[in-house]
Amino acid sequence: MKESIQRVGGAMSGMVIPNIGAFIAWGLITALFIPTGWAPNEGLSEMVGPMIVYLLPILIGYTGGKMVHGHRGGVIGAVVTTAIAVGASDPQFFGAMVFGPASAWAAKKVDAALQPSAPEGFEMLIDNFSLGILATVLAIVAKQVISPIMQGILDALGALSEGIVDAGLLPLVDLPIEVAKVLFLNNAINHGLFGPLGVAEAAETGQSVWFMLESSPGPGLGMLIAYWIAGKGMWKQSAPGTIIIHFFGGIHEVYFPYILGHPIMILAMWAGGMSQALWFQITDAGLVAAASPGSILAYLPLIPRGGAVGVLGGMAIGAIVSAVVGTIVLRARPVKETDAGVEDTITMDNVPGVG
Amino acid sequence: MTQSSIPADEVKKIVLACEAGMGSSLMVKNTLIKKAKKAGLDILIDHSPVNLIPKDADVVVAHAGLSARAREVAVNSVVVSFNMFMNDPAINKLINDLSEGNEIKSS
Repeated sequence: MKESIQRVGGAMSGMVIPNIGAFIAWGLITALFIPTGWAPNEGLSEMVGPMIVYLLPILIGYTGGKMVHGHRGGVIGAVVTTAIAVGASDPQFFGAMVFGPASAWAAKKVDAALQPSAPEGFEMLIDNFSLGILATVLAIVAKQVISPIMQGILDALGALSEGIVDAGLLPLVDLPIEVAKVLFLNNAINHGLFGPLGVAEAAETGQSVWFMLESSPGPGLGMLIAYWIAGKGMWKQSAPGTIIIHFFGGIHEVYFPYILGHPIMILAMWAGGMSQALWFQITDAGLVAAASPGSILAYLPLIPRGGAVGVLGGMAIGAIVSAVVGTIVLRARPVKETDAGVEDTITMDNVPGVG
Repeated sequence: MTQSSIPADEVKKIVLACEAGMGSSLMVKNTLIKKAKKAGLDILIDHSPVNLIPKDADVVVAHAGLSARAREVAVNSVVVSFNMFMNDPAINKLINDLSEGNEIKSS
């Protein structure tokens, strides 16, 4: 079960992560040039819409197609994603993630049927036109049928995420996040789910809190500080180095063993994550684009003008609460050291919420 | 089936695997390269996403949380799992076994 969720999530994030550079370019252009940005510029801000509606979904559809069927798969994925994007009003990331690979799969089947029987000298003609014709057919279907359906799904998800924020339930969303993260579903959640939700919201309002719920390094920082203060042995010694990689390098994976090895420390993550989410909610905080990796250095340029108190305040609160709770937990329930170091204490089975 | 062990002198390529193949695997790879260089080992060390581990990897190194998936993909490799991203005993043992010519065992 865990492996299959990881696999789907891995495929989704695998389509997004190689394209993060383009997301950052879009985020910076947005943060700078939109009317509420740092250097408003009407001409330059014309790039914002086409990039988010067309460029980014098409890159994802291309990458998804390429994962299934090489460059030819990428090409047909890009064509079909364009058709979906044209037919809808919001950025079609989910559509790209599903139908980029799906259309590449169709091209793979057609190639497998046609390529062995191509007469000598006609290979190129058949290759090019089979892909072109298939892409045309799929694009028509995508534009007329799939695009409206995906827009409907996106509307529903958007309403749901808005409802969660409006109802003040953001802190509760943190509970499953912290558990899923340490099971290595961090990329799947952030890029597969929250990324598309965030982009849809940011395209309308200029910022989104969904970019921060998983990627904020605050709670993890606090939990590691707790180990530094109240931990023992190698846990204590390795904490400062881990803090640097986690908080500045943005590689959150390095803190997972500190939870997996002593699962009760998830309490520190929950306490920090929920207080942080509550602060984000109260201050209406958000980032203009996805911060990846989840480093403080990736956050700074993506904070909207006037949003520093919300973003950095939430991160600081998350870190402090998680450090305090983590220290109390470590004092009450110290890590049991074994001769073999940590190896004996770490299993995936004793993480709360995972059977 | 995943290989259960491989003699040290047959290890030509080690691949570090993580979820995205861009974050922690790259970091651990650089640690491993440094340690291998120090030990005077001439082995190709690379990193990759867990679902795209190259077929010619003799040894795959992945965090315990991902090693089940690494085993599904890297059917011809010995998979070594570790728990800590820094100073993990399993990483040090791997380098030790390689330089002493021991059998590298799946773990």
